[in-house]
Amino acid sequence: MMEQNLATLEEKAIYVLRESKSKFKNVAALWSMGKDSTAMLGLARKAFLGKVPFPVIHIDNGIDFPESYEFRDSLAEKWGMELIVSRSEIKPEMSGFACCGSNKTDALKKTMKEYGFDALIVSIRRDEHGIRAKERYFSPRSRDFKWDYKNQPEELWNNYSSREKGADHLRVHPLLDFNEVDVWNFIKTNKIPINPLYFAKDGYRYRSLGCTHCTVPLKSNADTLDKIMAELRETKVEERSGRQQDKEKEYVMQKLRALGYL
Amino acid sequence: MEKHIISMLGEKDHGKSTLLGNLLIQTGAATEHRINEAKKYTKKGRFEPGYILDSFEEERNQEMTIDTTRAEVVYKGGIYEFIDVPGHLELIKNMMSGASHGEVAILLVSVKKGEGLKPQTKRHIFLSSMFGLRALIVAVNKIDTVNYGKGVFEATKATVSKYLDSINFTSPVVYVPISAYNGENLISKSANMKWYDGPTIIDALVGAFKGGRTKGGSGTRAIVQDVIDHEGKEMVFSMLASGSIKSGQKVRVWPSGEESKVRELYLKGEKAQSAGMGNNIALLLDGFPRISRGDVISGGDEKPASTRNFGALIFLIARVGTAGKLELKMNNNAITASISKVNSVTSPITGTSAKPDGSLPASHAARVQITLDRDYPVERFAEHKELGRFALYSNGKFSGIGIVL
Repeated sequence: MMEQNLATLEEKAIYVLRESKSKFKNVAALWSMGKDSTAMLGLARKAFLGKVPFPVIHIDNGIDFPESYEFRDSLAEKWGMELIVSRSEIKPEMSGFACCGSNKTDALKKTMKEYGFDALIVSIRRDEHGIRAKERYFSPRSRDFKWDYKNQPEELWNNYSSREKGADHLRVHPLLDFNEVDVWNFIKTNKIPINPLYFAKDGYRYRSLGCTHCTVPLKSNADTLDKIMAELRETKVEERSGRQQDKEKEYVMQKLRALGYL
Repeated sequence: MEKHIISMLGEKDHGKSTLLGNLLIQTGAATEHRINEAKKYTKKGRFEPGYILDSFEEERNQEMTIDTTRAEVVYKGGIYEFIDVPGHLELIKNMMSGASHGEVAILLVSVKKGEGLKPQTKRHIFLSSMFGLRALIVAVNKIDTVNYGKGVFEATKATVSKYLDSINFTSPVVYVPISAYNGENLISKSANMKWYDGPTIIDALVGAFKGGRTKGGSGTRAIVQDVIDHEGKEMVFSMLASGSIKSGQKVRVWPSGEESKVRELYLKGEKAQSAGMGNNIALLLDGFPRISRGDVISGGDEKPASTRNFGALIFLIARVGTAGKLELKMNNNAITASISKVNSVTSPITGTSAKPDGSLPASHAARVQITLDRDYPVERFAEHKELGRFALYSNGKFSGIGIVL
């Protein structure tokens, strides 16, 4: 995995972010406190003259890492962001698919309805998964949040979809062109504050962050940004290998996304 | 690293996903996990490399690509990003969504018995010629099914070349005989085709992108995205589609034609002295000219080619009435328009002309005069791509594309 031209990636993301604010009345962004959505907020500050001009939603099931909560509160304050915490309840029998699928999505549905958001910025990237590689920059979701992946609207050049034909809201994907190493390159170049869990401690680090129940760290000694980037240039291991939900069944990512998963 | 974008073209089952799957395997771009995952779906004991791209359950079950996907290869200091597209006619809007982003295209033409240069292949070639290509690489595929015959390759080359001439295709073209399934002539030369002394697919790509990035048109054109209030200042967000802009320089805002001056210029959130092509900028303009989304900022002594009437070449994927109103989508803005005159209607697939009888049939190209309902700055596609191309909607339905002549 090699770094792409960062300037080109940034321009595209800035264009998409500005387009979402210009075309939609009530935009929000999802923030998991992970590297991708945090980088996206850094890009928004570049796009909008130093401000994050939309509320950021954290879907909180109460079992995120303590480091993540701490990071969330300090950065929200530092960057003056409007933080919306959308609480979802974990039930003991839930795991993987049910937890990520219905539990988190239900909480998001409630928040979207309560605030009337018509566009939601989500920091997915094409290189994360074969299914995510099939996404558009602007992607409609139906009233029950379903992704009609077999009949996606056309997206020629920069002519993006609007909210029409019974769509509940549009998902906006400014980071679609970024690869994992590009996100780190952006974070390093722009000195973006980052969740400490990504840096190796006692021979392990988190490469992809979910909640405490479903995420496991991987063996790594990368305790600096440079070492993380060096590790990624050489790796043959999938980024989401530490995420339990992807492994349970075949096509689980496709099914999760069709149901509205992020 | 600089990234180059390549779209895959061609009829279904002529090997687009297979070629790409093997390119990913041979360059080491596909992780072992992804290859093993694709291998799980092997049918009849035959592994299909295309499954690395086709990730939907339905795609693997039906052995077809439903929607576009992208995958990258790193080779000789460059990143090559491939856009795979579906070959089925009913999925043409997905194909167009993908192909509209390609700078170079790889066209698959299968030489297997009964395959060859199909109507859909011609449709893809014509569409990509309208998108504007730096180069076309014709992959003459399944050459293994004809005993690696040089004669079949030469005959196919002649057929495709004749077709390209018939539609006045002007981009450079390279022909490469391949077996996508066996992975021959993709990265390294195949021992089965010693008679072929041209480049492999990857070397043809390296050659196609020589000479740096695609150049923009002459003059300055910034497309206005939004006008916002920032700490009491009216800031204009715009994307610089061509040329450059400097703090202090004279500009004009179109369609009004009002003159102004750049008082402050911001690039990525910071105050800057100048900006270049491709930059997303924020401007504070002198004298508060009338300005809104969809307007274009040009240099002080420049003006757009047209703001109302222009000639266009359109290609239709659905029948469109010539009497009613149409909608053009340009840079994400919808403009109502009508066809004021039809000059010619031809099928780039059969080569025959049609008479316009109140409507234009699908799969036909037409040269028309278009009149917009309101002033909107447009440019000739040959000069300024971003301001000279549009998606065409009739009764709210996506019906084709057009370029300004």
